[in-house]
Formats: sequence, C-alpha cells, structure tokens
Amino acid sequence: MIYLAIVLQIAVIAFSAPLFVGILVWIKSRAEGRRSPNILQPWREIRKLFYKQVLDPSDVGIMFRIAPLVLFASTATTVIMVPLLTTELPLHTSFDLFWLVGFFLLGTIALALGSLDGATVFGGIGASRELMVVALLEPSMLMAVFALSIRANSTNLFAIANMTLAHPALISSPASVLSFASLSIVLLAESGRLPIDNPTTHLELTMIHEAMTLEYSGYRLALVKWASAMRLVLLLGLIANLFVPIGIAVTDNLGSLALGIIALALKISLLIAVLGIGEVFLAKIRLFRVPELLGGSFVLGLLAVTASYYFPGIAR
Amino acid sequence: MTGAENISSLALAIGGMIIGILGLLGHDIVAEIPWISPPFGISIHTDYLGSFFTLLISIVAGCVAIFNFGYTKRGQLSRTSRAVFPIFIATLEVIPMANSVPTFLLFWELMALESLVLVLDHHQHKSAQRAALHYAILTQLGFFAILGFFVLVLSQSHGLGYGAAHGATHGLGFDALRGAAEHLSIESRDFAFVLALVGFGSKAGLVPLHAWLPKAHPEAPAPASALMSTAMVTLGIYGLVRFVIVFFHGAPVWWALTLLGIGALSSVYGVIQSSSANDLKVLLAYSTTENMGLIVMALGTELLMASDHHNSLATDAALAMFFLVGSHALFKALGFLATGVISLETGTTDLNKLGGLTKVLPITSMAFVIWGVAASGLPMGSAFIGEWILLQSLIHLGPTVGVGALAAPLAMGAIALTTGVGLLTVVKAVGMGILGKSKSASASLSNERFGTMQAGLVLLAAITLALGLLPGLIVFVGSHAVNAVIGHSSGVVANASAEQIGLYHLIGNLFPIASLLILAVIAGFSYLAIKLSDHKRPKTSKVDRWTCGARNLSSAMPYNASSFAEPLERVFSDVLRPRRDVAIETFEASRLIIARVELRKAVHDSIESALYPPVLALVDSSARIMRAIHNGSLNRYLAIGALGLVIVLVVVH
Repeated sequence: MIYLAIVLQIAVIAFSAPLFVGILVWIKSRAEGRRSPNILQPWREIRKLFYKQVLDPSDVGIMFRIAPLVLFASTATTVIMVPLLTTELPLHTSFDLFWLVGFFLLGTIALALGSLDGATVFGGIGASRELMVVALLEPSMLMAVFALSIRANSTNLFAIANMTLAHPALISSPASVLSFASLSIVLLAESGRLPIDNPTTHLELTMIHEAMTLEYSGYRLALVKWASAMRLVLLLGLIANLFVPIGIAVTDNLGSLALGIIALALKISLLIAVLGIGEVFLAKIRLFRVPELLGGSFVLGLLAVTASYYFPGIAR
Repeated sequence: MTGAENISSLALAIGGMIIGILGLLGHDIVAEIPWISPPFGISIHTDYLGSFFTLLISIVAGCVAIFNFGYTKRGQLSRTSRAVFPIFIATLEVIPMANSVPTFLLFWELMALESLVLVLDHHQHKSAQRAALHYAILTQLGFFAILGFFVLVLSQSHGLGYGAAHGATHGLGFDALRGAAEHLSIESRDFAFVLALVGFGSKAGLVPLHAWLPKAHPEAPAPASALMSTAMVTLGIYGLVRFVIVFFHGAPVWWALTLLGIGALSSVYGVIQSSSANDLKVLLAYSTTENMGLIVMALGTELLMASDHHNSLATDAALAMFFLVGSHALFKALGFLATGVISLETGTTDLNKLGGLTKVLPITSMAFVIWGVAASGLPMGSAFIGEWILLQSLIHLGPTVGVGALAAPLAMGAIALTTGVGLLTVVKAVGMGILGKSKSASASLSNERFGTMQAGLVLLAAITLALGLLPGLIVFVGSHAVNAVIGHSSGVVANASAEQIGLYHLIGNLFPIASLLILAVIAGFSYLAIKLSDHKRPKTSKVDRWTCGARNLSSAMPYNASSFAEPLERVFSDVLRPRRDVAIETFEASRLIIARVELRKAVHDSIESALYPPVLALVDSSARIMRAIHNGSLNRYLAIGALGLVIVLVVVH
C-alpha cells in the first residue's frame, strides 16, 4: 500500500507531462494570437513516434542505443525524490537535493554521450553546448540548494517542505524570494526553455537540446521527448512544492492524496501559464551571453544564502 | 627470469595490504631497526592515519602489479623501470609508516628518485628529458621546504629533554616533533605552516606548483603514471595531514582560509585546464590537480570548523577528505591504466585521433566509462559521495561564524564549478576517446582478449564501483583515521551501514543502490514495453547521417575534441588565453578568392608561463655566479671552506 504512493506519483507525472506541454503550447499560441494545435497533440506525437519505424545511422555504437532509455528511466526515477503529492513517500530519507541534481545530470550526460556516439556534427555541437550550460549552471543550482537547506538545516527535500508547512511565514522570507528567482533561471536552463534554448526551433545552428536528438527516430525519439516533458513538469512541481508546499498530502490516505494531486495540478498550471505568457516576450539570447545570465542567478543564490543567515524568518 | 619483478611487486602490495588492515584494526606495528642507514636507523609505527594510506597505496599497487604482467609481456617497460617498480611500491608503502624524521626523509627522497627514473623510461626522447628536469627541480625545491620545516620545528625541541628520552631516534622521532611543535612561537608556527604547504603542496601538484604533473605524465609509462598520480601525490596530502593538521592544534583561521583558497584555485584551475587538454594523459594529469584541490579544500574546511568548535562538522570534513583521497586514488589509477591499454593498442593518446573503441576494446572501454562515472561526480560514482559529505559540512555551518558566512558559500561555488566543468571534461574524454565512429588510430585493430592487463583493469573498476555504490564502507575503514585527524575519539563518525551513509547530525541519508534499483526497474519495464510492441512497427533500417545534404565529409570535418571544448574555452579565455593564428592564402588572380586557410590554436598554462620564467632566470643567473666562483682552483675552495667554518663558529657562539 505504502509503495502505491511511489507508483502513483510516477504515473501522475508521466501521464500528465505531455498534457501540460500541450497546455503550454495552447497558452503561448493564444497569447500570440494564433490558432493552437489540440492540447493532446504532444501525446499523439509520442504515440505516433512510438510505433514508427526506427532509422539507425550506419554502424552506430551501443551508447547511442541505450541513451534514450537511460534518460527516460533516470527522469522517471527523479520523480520519486521530490515531494509532489505527499511528504510521506517511502524512501524519502534516502535522497536529498544534491542527489536529485546529480540524477538530473545523469540523464543529460547519457543523452550527450549518446549523441556523441551517433558521431554527427550536430550531435557534437549540441552536446558541447549543453555541457557548457550545465558546467556554468552547477554553481547557481547548488547555491540555491544551499539557501533552501538553511531553513530546515537539511538538504532533504521532504524536510524542507515539512519545515515550510510548519512555518508558513517562510514562504515570503527574503531568502525564499531570492532563491526562488535564482532557481527560476536554473529551471529555464535545465529544461531548455527560452531565453537559453528554444525547444521549437528548426534551425540547427541555434539548437542546444534539439541538436543532440537530431539522429534519433521512432520510439527512441518518443522516449527523449517524453523525458523532456516530464523533466519540465517535474521541475515546475519541485519549485512549487519547495516554496509553497500548501495542499500537499502529509498522510498517505487516498483522500489527501487526491487533494495533493489537485493542488499540484493547480500549481503547475499556474506556473505553465506564467511560463507560456512570459515566453511570448522573450527571444533566445546568444549562447555566449548565457554565462552572464547564469552569473546573475549565482549572485541571487549567494544573496539568498547570506539573507537566510541574517534574516532567518523564524526564531532559531 | 621474466616476471620476477611483477611477482615481487604483487607480493609487496599484498604485504602492504595486510599491514594496512592490521593497522586499521588496531594491531599496530612498532619497530626500530638501527642497522639500516646508521646512525639514526629506521623507525616504523603503523598508526591509524598511516595505515589508511598504506592500505590505499597497496590496493592500487596490487592492481597495477597485475596489470604489469601483461604490460611488460608486450615489451613496454625498459629493464631499469621494471627493476625500479617493486622498490617504488615498497617505498610508497613505507612512507606513511615512518615514525622519525630521518626515516621519513630517506624514503621521501627515494620516492622522488625512483619516480624520476620512471619518468625517464623513454630517456632518449628530448621531451622526456625536459619533463624529468622540470620534475627534478620542483621535487627538490619541495624537499628543501620540507627539510626547512623539520629543522624549524626541531630547533625548538632542544632543551625540552626529548633527546635523551627517545634512544635510537636521537630525539628525531615524530613524538618529539609533535612535542616540539607545541612549543613553537606563533611566528615560527606560521612559517612552518608555509614551508609545509610549499613542500607537500608541490608533491600534491597544487597550483602554482603543479607544472610538473602535465609534463611528467605523458612521458612516464601508464602504470608508472598510475602510481605517481595516485599514491605519490596522495602522500603529499598525507604530509599535510600529518604535519599540519595533526601536529598543530588550535590552528589560526587564516591557515584554514589559505588552504580553502589554494584548494579552490587548484580545483577550478586544474579542471579548466583539464577540459581543454586534447591529450588523454595531460587531461588526467590536470584532473589530479583538480582533485588534490578538492581534498585540500576539505582540509581547509576541517580547520575552519575546528577553529570554531563545530566538532561534528570538522569530523564530516575529515571524513570527506579521506573519501576523496580514496576515491581519487582508485579512479585515477583506473583512468591511467585504461589509457595505457588504449595507447598501447592504438599508438596514440590524442583525443582528436581516437574514437570508435567500444567495439574493438570492450573491456577497456567499460573500464574507461566506469572511470568517467566515478570521476565526474555523478550519482553512483565515488567522487559524488566525497563531495556530498564535504558540501554537507559546509552547508551546516550555520549563521554563527563571521568569516565562514562568506567562505562557506564561496567554497561551495568553487566545488560546484569544478564539478560542472569536470562533467564536460569526462564527457569529452569518453565521447571523443572511445565513442563515435572509428578513426584512423583504431581502424585496423583486432578484438581485445582478456589478459592480465584486463584483469588489473576489471579489479580496479570493481573496487571503484563498489566505493560509489556502498559508500558506508569508508566509515568502517576510515573512522579511526578520522578520529586521529580531528584529535579526539568520539567513536561515532557517521551513521552508516555499508549501503547507506548519513552524517549523524543530519536528517536523511544517501542510499545509492535504492536509486539504481528503481532506475533499473523502470528501464526494464520500458524495455519490455518496447520489445512487446516490436511486431507493430516496421523493421529498423540503416540510413546515412544528417549532414545538411553534403556527401563525403572529410576526416577533418566531424566534431572533434578541440571543437567540443571550444565554447567553454571561450568563456574562460581569460584563464586559458588560447593562442590563435589564422593564416590565409589567396589566389594570385584575386585576393578575394581564398585558396587555403590554416588555423592553429593552442592553449597554454598561463600560471606556469607567468610564474616560472622569472624563477628559472633567477636560478640561471645565480648558477652563472656559482660557475664564476668554481674555477677549479684548490686554494680558492680551501679559502671558501675556511670562511664557512669561521661563519659557523661565529654563529654558534
């Protein structure tokens, strides 16, 4: 029974992720005054690709073949490390934020190695750029982790969520606001959204993430697309529940789990709406200006850390 | 008899393991052997701290010895190198057991000498000679600093009565040294710290004394590099731990900040240089500087926490230090040995020429991927656990410490940047070195067979993997050594079973195998779903790669290792200062039509080129003065000798 929560959480994220991407596309199109494809379109694409013929580049290596599977499985595994539906997930003492960050990178690295094994120029370009962003992202990411962990004196995500639940005043503390800003930039970079990467681009020379997937086809491409949708939704859910964990189930009975699902759906929808409308006003920035953006995020994280030293928000 | 040297290497390694394990279990060996190297003799004591290092070195040496059976069979090492190998292993194992200053210095110098012989394996090459010279100079400078450190500390021991009490060691035992260290004045203590940092830091390859590493490693044969870059540099760390952390209690905060600063500089600079290196061995050498930087940061954190009486956090930092030392030694040896096989089979270590090795060298490729996982700081690799413990120590500092409030987040930023760039480095090495299409160097290879070289690799890879997946093991092995470092024996270092690790002031643990199992289950189900629906999709067909419509790409056109690191190189161009020369030839008829473009690009070590030439010039000019004095006249030498004697007499009285 208790392990049902794990399966439920993975299932909810996995099956809602393409749907949320559809909503994002819908909101963006409406905001730009265009007609939108059906909200189910991302789902239909994944289904179509899953049954399509696989086209393999000649004499390609094993890493190319297994990379999408590793990416998908590692992304699905990260779902159980985050308090999304309930704070009472089994194994919740076995992971923390560092481990989660590392696991995200595991999928990224697998895809980068797969695209290098595909031995195309675009695979190389994509992997090289993606890793440059990752390398510079890492400090701001960990700084935000640092800032968040101070309040609960732990890097365990569930401990942080519980602490915020117990002290709702923390939601609006200066450290929270600053690290939220810092983490938002990290989220955009990590999930390959504007202004760092454009997931809808068709121009190879400006691609980052998409360039790595150019050689993939059939069910492999379906896995990659599904994994990146899951990653986006998971990151939004993570941000929502780290800063505003209200509504999350604190027991594992079915009623509060259902409530947790509704609360999570509402929060993610809200963030998706903000993201969709925000992206209308953004253009992709030049690759070599990304370090400036990430530098800004690092400084925000540093400020958040010092702010939580001086204004802890709760009496220690 | 062939193979005798490898058998004795293996025997020495196994002997070292037994001594190390006995030492860690508390059965320490104390020995005084007066007849070796009189008048001081040899003094041995295998305490907890030394035993940890002896055990680690022996494990690495054992795998290297097994590897060497196959490696020498292929006619790889010169006779001299083969003879030196077992002696080198024995020397490395004895250094952590040394219990008196003469013993330590004797073996320390032996180690330098033997490693020099190994660097000169291809002594007919000009580059090897240059590398050896560079290495010899730096290691001797380091030795002088260490000698100065001992002289400074021991100068206080006279008149304290240690001389009479310690019989055979003539008051030069480490106990006497430790007692003397407590009586040093503040100024001499600080000076001693600087001397130790220079002496042991140069052995550990810390910036700015790292220049010998990337020069010596490409010249030394792979098993020698494996030992030098793991066991020998680790002994530099051992020196810092034993003579700085353990000997001086209540170290001032600036020591901690200096260690943190040098560590951060070394790790960030090392990893950036490593990311732009195109020779696999240079890449590994710079990554040694990076990892030593991380370890020194752990030492600095330990001092910082101890100086503010955060005992549990200091314990964490010390544990992190031991974990980082252990994991680095194992995965770096693995990396060098795998590189040895690659270089033996393909004849090159240039990443721009390698690639496509997974099919021809499957075992070596697997070992290299395991190196990548362990070295990159990815979850389930061993470096991750060490960094995790260190970061936990930094994070839990809390808002009370003044200087720590800034030092902790900045140290964390440096560690994070190191990990991030380290990821790129590993992806570059693995992706360009062994994945992809086969290029010129690997086109005509026959398939790898399982021999003793592969056995050494597999053994080392298995130990490396185990350390990442069963992180609690280190607590069983290292807890006594940690207590020896922090100077009190609380008994509990961390709560851990073999498969989980947690720090005892912490909510939550780390449980790598759980994540691995869940990942495997999900991957298994997904694979099953794909296989079961296989009949619904048409058969896979082979196609050409997408090249924007171009046909027949030349061998210079695919993305190579240089292009892979280029974006990051540009971001860090202030540090790397890449040199670019573009030469354009045009047709005579029109200067607008280009016939040929040549682009040369080289990254160089900016710290080395800024710091070393002035020092070398100084040495050179002083040598010229010396030459002028040394004109061969006996009268003059006698005069100088007499003058020296007079000076000594005046000073002493």
